[in-house]
Amino acid sequence: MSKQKKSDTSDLSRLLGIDKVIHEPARFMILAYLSAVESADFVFLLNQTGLTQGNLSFHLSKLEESDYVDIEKQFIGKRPHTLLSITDKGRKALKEHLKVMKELIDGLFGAY
Amino acid sequence: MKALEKKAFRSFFKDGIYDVFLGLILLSFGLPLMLNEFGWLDYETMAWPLVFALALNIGALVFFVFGKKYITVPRLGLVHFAKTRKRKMRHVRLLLVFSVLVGVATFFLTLFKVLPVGEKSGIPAAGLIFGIQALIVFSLAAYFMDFTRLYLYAFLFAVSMPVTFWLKKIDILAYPSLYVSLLTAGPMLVVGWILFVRFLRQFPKKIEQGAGDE
Repeated sequence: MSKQKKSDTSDLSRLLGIDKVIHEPARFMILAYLSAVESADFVFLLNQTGLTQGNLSFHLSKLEESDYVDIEKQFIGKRPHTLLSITDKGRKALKEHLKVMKELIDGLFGAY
Repeated sequence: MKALEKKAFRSFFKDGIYDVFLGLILLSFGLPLMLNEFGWLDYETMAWPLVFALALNIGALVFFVFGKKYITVPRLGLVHFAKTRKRKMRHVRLLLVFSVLVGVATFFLTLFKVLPVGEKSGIPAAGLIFGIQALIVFSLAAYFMDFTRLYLYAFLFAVSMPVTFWLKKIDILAYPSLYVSLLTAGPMLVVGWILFVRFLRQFPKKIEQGAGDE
């Protein structure tokens, strides 16, 4: 029975099915930060992740396209302000991704 | 995720503004006593020491509010933390309200001579109450806020007043309030100022929102 379980979790072909939008390190980092808070602005993510403005902007667009992140653009006075939050779909996808990665890693390296 | 949230929350303490704020508050307690020791202030009446303390408290509060709003947030960004953190911060606010109420009650009980003034020990009951409540309130706040330096500040707040009165009683130093203020409020102000300058160097200018997010 345990042999069967091990063979399932160490099946590397599962890697092919993982969510590539989340698997990219920068996007994973962004989603992880957004899942830890209710919402945050662009500057906060810029400081926490250490990404450049262009990079962060690019990855946020990708996450928004997949409906993982909600981007709310507003003006405070005359200044633009971008408020970001993780969507329910994004939170679910992140959890699923973490679960799959954990199972794969445990299956491959659990004995060490 | 908890560690990530804690890291993000704690990043707001690296501006040193909390340290300077608490240092100024503690200094406000010792300042009237110091001025009196120098002979620059005769507090036969309670009015002048209170005016000095109040002015310093208001200055500290203005520095805190404006510093956070116009210096920290534009550089570190704006974040709304999750429910767990909000609940913890609500606990901190309740603790501070409790602390202020205890402080006000102690002040009036001392003023009307309900509390003993500690003629034998030199430490009035108000000094002991202040010390004990500072230790409890600030330690709990440090716990809820994950603000490690606040444990040390809790200790410095707690010892400041009892030690000042005790030194006055044994009368071996010319300016006990000055030395106690330097040793208690001093470290907070120095640490806060160093962190503040380092913060401004690390984040020299505000990042324009939306500059790279179009």
